[in-house]
Amino acid sequence: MKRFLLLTVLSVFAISLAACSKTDDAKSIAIVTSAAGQNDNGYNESAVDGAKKIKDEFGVDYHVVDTTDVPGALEQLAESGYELIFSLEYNFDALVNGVGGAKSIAEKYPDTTFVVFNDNPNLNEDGTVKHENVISVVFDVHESSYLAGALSVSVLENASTLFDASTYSFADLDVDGRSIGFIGGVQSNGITVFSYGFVEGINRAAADLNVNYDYYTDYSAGFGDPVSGSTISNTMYQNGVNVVYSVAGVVGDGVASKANELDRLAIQVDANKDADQPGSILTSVLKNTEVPVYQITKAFIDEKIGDLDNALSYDLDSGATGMTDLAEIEKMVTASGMTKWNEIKTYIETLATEIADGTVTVTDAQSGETLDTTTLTNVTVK
Amino acid sequence: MKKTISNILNVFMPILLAFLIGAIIMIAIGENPIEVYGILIEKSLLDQKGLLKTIHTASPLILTALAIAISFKANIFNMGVEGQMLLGGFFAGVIGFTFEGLNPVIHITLSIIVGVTVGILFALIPAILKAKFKVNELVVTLMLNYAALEFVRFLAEGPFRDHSSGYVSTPMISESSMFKRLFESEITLFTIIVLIVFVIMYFVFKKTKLGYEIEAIGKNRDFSEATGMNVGKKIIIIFIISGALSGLAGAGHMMSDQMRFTMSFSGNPGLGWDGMLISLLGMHSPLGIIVAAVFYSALITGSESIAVFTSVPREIILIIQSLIILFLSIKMISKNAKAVAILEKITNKILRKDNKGVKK
Repeated sequence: MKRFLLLTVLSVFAISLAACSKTDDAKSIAIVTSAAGQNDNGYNESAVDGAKKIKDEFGVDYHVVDTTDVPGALEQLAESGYELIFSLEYNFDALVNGVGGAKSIAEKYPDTTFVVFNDNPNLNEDGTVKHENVISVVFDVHESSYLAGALSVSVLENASTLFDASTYSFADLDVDGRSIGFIGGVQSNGITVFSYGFVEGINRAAADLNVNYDYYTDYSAGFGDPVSGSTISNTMYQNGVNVVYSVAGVVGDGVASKANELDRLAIQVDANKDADQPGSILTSVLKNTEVPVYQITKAFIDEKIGDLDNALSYDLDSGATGMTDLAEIEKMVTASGMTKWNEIKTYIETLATEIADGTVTVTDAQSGETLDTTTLTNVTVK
Repeated sequence: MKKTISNILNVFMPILLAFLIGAIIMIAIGENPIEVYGILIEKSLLDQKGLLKTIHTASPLILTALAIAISFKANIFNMGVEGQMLLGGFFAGVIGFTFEGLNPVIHITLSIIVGVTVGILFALIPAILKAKFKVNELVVTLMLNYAALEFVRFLAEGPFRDHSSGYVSTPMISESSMFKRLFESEITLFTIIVLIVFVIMYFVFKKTKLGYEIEAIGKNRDFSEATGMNVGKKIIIIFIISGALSGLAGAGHMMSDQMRFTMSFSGNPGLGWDGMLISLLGMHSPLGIIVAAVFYSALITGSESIAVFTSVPREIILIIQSLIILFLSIKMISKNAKAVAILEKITNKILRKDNKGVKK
């Protein structure tokens, strides 16, 4: 009796509230963020920035959804009439394949275009496209990491020319050995793609300068704990590592602050974070989601979205990936070091051209390639 | 009648209070609270698809909550439901993707058996330590969760990794081990299995000798021992049931919802911890658990809809969720005379300490 009464009251309460509700039927574009959320100062936030730019220029509204249930959100958004949905999380099964005997979301809502990132799940075994209304966006971060690796070696080898002796306290290259570190969130292709490009870049510059480097890696830092970034990088720095590159979300913030504390260098990822610890961050490897969001939405507004490829790859030239303009680290370079600094910048540009024209090919773990360690003539992977 | 009214008040006051505070926050940030709450309730309970989704979300939670309840009722603290669930889910998944083209009935049954067995085996470690060596089960089970998590992480990154995936993930389980979706919604046969298990557990709790013994151990372990009960053996049985329920929850979550193991398999805070909360809210009674589980799942599915249909930040929704839970648990404490006594003792102690400090 008690429970029935309770239920009745509950439902009356619920219905009366529901009666007041109305749903929002404005048609616009939607962005479903990844677990880090829309204020992550990087990957998700850049995508939202792209949508903001579109809104300012064309007046098309956008809606951002932070969710833990990506398939559910995609379905509800498509159901309520959104025609272009960006999904930043790594979660494709329900969208492309359908699970539990259900139709895939892409098939259920053919009038909606879904854009996914960092992988191309939209392929059949024979390489044909599964759904015309799914676009996958991949960033060539292995190429930008390659440049970051070459830059690290060039800067370390010329540190005494570039910087005032008191600016950094690098481990002596000839005494402690030459070494560079990498910290990844997890052991997966999405992370090793950065590491492989980076180590190949190190190898290239080391070979050009005729020196040998050690390469330390840790792929288990997770993505959420800056403290673990400090701890792991501290171990690396104490063992003579001078530059640590972290691809592990906010773990990188801990690495950068440790670099600042010990007067060494860190490399950040996703957004331009160079100014977070000025002078301690050599550069940030960019994965700028703003560019694809802007371009694809523009095509959508011009009704040319059908002309786009189903697999879009953003390389160094697109501006969606690359290194920062190095403005922060340049402030640390002394007047007498400027000539060398410009030399290094030219060297990096040469490498970028070589990548663009195909003289240099960088291992792309994202598309399933594995690193052939025998090609690393001047690097020992520890 | 008086008691009924106080009961209703007890349930509704915290919800209304939480909604009220939430409404104030929403007005402050310029949102319409009536619209937001409307969506929360409409999309999770009143809309057919939403209601089925809520029940689907509740299914594994009912199991983890029962797993908690059976041990807490006996005053044995199995804090390891999360770990047992993770392992059960992971290995059910391994069976799911290893075999292909089996008869679905055989494949699903096999996956479930493996999930349940793994859950039981993992629960047996603290059970034997507790029953034979009187090792504190709270500490052991709590710490084993981390061991389980790191172990499945290792397996997912190493031997069972899906090489075509860019993130840490096992391959997707094959079609034949998936619970098929029913009525164009997210609900599957797994929910029916949960309901059957629920009925069995209800019977165990209320009508069997074991249920009575669990209650007796919970009330006074030494007395139960003195009356000739083999408490050690009962503890092992309790852990086996708890582990089996957890393993089943994990296996079901894998085969009806996740379809592959990723590091966010269990969500945040995790099915095991959510289950603990639900069990506490439901006062460790089966019927209470089912009501609490549906209510809690409605909050989850409803708040996902708020994110889709309004621009209220997710954090605000989480605040309202936690407020409801907080207020509900206050009610739970006020009903529990022992807890009140403990709270009083603690406050007295703190006060006395303060007084001493002043005197000095």
